[in-house]
Amino acid sequence: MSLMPDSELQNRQDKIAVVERGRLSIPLTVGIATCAALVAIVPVGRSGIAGLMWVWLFALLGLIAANLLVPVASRNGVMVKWVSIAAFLGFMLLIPIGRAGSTMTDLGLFAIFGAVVVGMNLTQGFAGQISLAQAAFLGIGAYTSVLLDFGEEISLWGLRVDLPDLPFLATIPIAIGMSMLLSVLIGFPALRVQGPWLAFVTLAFNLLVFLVLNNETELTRGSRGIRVLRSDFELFGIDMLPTNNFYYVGFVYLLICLILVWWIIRCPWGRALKSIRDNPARASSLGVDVRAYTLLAFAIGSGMAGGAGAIYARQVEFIEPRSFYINQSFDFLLATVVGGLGTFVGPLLGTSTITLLADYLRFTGDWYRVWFGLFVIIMMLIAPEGMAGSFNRFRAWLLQRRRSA
Amino acid sequence: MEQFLQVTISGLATGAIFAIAAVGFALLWQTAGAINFAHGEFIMLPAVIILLLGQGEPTFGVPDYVPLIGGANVGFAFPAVGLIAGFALAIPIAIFLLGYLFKVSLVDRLLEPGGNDIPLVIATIGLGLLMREYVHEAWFATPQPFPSVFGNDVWRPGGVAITADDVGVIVVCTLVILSLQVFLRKTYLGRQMEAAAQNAETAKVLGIPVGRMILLTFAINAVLVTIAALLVSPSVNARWDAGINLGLLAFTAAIIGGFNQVRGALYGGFLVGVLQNWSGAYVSNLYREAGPLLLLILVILVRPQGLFGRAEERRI
Repeated sequence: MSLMPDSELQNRQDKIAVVERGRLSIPLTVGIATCAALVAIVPVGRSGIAGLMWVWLFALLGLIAANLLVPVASRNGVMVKWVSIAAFLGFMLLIPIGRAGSTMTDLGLFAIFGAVVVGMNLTQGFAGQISLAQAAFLGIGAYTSVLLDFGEEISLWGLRVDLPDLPFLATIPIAIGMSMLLSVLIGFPALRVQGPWLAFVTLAFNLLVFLVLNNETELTRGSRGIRVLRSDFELFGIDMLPTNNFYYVGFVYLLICLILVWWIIRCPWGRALKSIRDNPARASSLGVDVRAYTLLAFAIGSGMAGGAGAIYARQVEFIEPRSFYINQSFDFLLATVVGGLGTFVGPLLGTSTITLLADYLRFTGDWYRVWFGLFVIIMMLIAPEGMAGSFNRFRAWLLQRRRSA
Repeated sequence: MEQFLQVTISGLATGAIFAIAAVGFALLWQTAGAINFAHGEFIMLPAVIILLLGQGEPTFGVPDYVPLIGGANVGFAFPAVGLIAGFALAIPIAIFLLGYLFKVSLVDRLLEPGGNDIPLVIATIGLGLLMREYVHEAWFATPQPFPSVFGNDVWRPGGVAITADDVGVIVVCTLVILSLQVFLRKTYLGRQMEAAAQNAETAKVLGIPVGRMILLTFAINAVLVTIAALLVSPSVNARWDAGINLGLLAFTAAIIGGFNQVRGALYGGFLVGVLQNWSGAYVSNLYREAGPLLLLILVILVRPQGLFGRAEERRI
């Protein structure tokens, strides 16, 4: 008789691996270590790597081993988990030291896209609806925030309009609110019926947003894009012009999103969400308002992308409609799935594959995109639960083997 | 008035092609339960293959022998001959690649009956990315002009300019869809296919080879996308990124028309094409695509089974 019949039963019931409290530390650490490894590998040849970083890297590899060997539920396991989290935070906090600008831009993008994918994972992994407009919400957030921070007079449909000059931090909540509002407007009809309608509606919506951003040139300057300057820009007395400093804004935002999701999936509301994903008919017969819950998850996921957009604009210092086209949404979707749907670290893993790995593979020209498409197909064939889910499976197998030995 | 007629006729022509693409998309969805997010790329790839096989002169760095298979050197002098030769050769290739191989390697493995369809959706998005980027990297990155099978004649009855291409496209597409409709409704094989699509379990009990019927659906879809590729490419060119818009408009047409009806997809296609041209001509050329997309959102809001579709009862 195995010691873990419950978890096995659950794995058979659910199409998507469910991460319970005790099993969290494993995927978490692997995610962290993989991100860390990628972070460490990417800049080689560009800025060189500080000796300290190698120490960190080996420490993280040691942590993966510890996580594989120590049972999660034990006291040591809990300790290993917290050490892993601390190591991840430490690594992400220390990495800007001694790095050059372009590397930091990539890292900042990793943090921002990480938040976008965390939001998508909430919609898809926990509410079971595919959203293909995540790039559009990123764009809505970016343009909303930039235009509110513009402070210039423009001509709009023949009228002279003074654009407000709000401080950057004040524009983030407005960007989030704007994205959430629009997501409710399009999600409301789409979630009225069961089926993949949200995927189609969001896809159409993404194209509409692109058309508006591209064609309303008086407001958005169209395909010429808007240059966003970060000069004269301070937060809490710290000069935000150097990329190394601004990176922390994205990083903190990512942490807030992660903590929010961590809280959501543990509160009763999150449990109701999971029950909808696993069996909508049963959930609704138990009195869960399927539509309202799904809509709210979609709105929060989109809001996260909107806030990320505000930070994104300052990170890359230039926004143009092309950055928010459908293929970017597809990239986010692939990141969510490759990382592992419905898992906590999946988004981080997936984002590292689309941003950092993609950057690392830049030397292949654009061929890496071909390989990435192939990789996604093969992944769906052999491990549809994604990287984090596969690691859970591998670990369960290892544990069982050790027990039976 | 003349402008209105002209815009409407060319809209009908584009719409007819969307209708063909939408029918293929809807057939796969109905029969195999497969939602194909690479449908646009399924149209783009045959266009590229037709061009590679049918063109008389090797243009984009592909080995010489490839174009020679198709039109030989006749291709360049008489585009239509090379095109038709390329088209004839592209059909078996499409049936194998986009029909058989797609079904056996992806759909059969990823689609469990009653299971969730997310893995297949993701895999087809990955497939679309693969096809798009492969064409971009391996063959050509710039749009390639694609001649029309119907030539470039323009007639002007009463001041309305009608191109031979428009007329040919409307006639061919309507004929293809009507004959498909007749095939599904009147022939024994077609009835078997319909039965397999509507209720696989019962069909199996009645002795219908459901597996073979599904395979046939994939083959029909492959032929439909190849026809769509031949007809649509003169206006959008053969290019690696044509698939995103084509796919989006194809399933917009399928959903607007009601994807459980071949007829619905036909009307949906015409509606999308005409609406696209109207919003291009009368609202703003920059918002050509916006009309159909707004209608899509409206249809899903008011009538999710499509304008001409039947409501389906939900199975739990």
